[in-house]
Amino acid sequence: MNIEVRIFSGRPNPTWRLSDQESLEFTGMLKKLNKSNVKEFPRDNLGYQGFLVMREQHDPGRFREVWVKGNIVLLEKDIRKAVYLDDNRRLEQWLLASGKTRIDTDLWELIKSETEKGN
Amino acid sequence: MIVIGVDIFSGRQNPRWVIDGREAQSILKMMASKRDIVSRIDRDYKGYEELGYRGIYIGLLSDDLTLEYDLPHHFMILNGSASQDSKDLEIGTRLVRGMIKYPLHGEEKANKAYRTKLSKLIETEMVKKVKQKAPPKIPHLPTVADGEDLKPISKKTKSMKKTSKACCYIELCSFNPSFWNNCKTIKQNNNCYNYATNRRTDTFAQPGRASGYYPYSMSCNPVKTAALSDGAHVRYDCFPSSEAPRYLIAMVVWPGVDYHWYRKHCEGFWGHKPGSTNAKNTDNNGNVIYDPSTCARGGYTDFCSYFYSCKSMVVS
Repeated sequence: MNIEVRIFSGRPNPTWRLSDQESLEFTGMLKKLNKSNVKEFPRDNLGYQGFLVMREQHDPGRFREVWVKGNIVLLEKDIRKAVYLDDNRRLEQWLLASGKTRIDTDLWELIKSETEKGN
Repeated sequence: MIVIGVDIFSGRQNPRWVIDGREAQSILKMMASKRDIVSRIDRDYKGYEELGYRGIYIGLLSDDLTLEYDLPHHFMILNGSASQDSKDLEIGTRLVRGMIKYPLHGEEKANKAYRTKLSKLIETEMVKKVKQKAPPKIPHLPTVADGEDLKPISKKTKSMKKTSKACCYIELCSFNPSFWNNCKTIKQNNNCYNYATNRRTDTFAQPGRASGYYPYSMSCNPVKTAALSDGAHVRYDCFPSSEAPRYLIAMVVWPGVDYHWYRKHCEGFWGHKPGSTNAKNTDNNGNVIYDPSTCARGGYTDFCSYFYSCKSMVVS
């Protein structure tokens, strides 16, 4: 799975790739989430818009993309979308941690501070 | 019977004369056989608008002529909006020289010497205008004036004084977000700079990269220098019409972090594309953007400047 932090407008966004083990761990955490009726977050504003997790290969019946921002998780499976609630923001924190050794330190700190703003 | 006129003057009456008989028939036959020279005068009429020569008017004065030659009852030729090749210019020259033979409407006392002199003037101006490199005629891309009062510093006294308004001509295109949003490849791989300059490159374009000024720190001056290096101009440093389309664009910066760009549209608002996300005309509060210097921009707190993009700008 590939991770992209949607944060910039002009510069390329930071990206990294999860290992197979990490991908399994992420999928496992997803399964524990509960569906919710909360509103989707806007994904086309300026600034931090969340983590976008993309499956490398199309796998019918399994999710294609997952957006994680704060305690809201948006899962896109084929043409369907579902919103989940992650009360403790565990997924967002886990994704942030997965990038710590993979991107520039200053950049990682910037992303961390944006996640902490609770935008 | 037909009337021929030349649209050239601003204050005085434009010259007009009537032709009848075989000469009129010959002219209409010529027009009918080369229809691409005919420019209809209707709601969508677009032709030269500047001072000086603007085109030749031909009006049919009897209803049978429109049927016989299948021509509109009036039209223009050599006015900048239809065919203007060398053959068309020959036709125009023939018409203009013809005015020597006929009395001018409203100036019936004007003698042949006067008409000859006027005909030569018009022919010179017509050839000059038609032969000059025409700016690209882009449909649905109106050219408008972008200006404000200019306060230059006098070189001698270094004093500030108000002078005539600075004014540049720019083009404003319609807002067309579907171009950027409906195709995943375009949406993913084109950013704010691609959108502002209206250049799809699929490279997530960076200011300065195409012209060798890259990378740089994220603050107003370096990003401004990068855009100027690509060929942009700061606002009120005009581009000639040959550089159309000339878009009015604006740049803001998230200090030390990133930049963002906007482009003005003919609807009166500004559009933008935050990175790989959708192109839109609303800000972070969901309000339509009428002023990028004051709209909600999140961390992009520094409003840097307005610029013009141009045809020969390099973007990659």
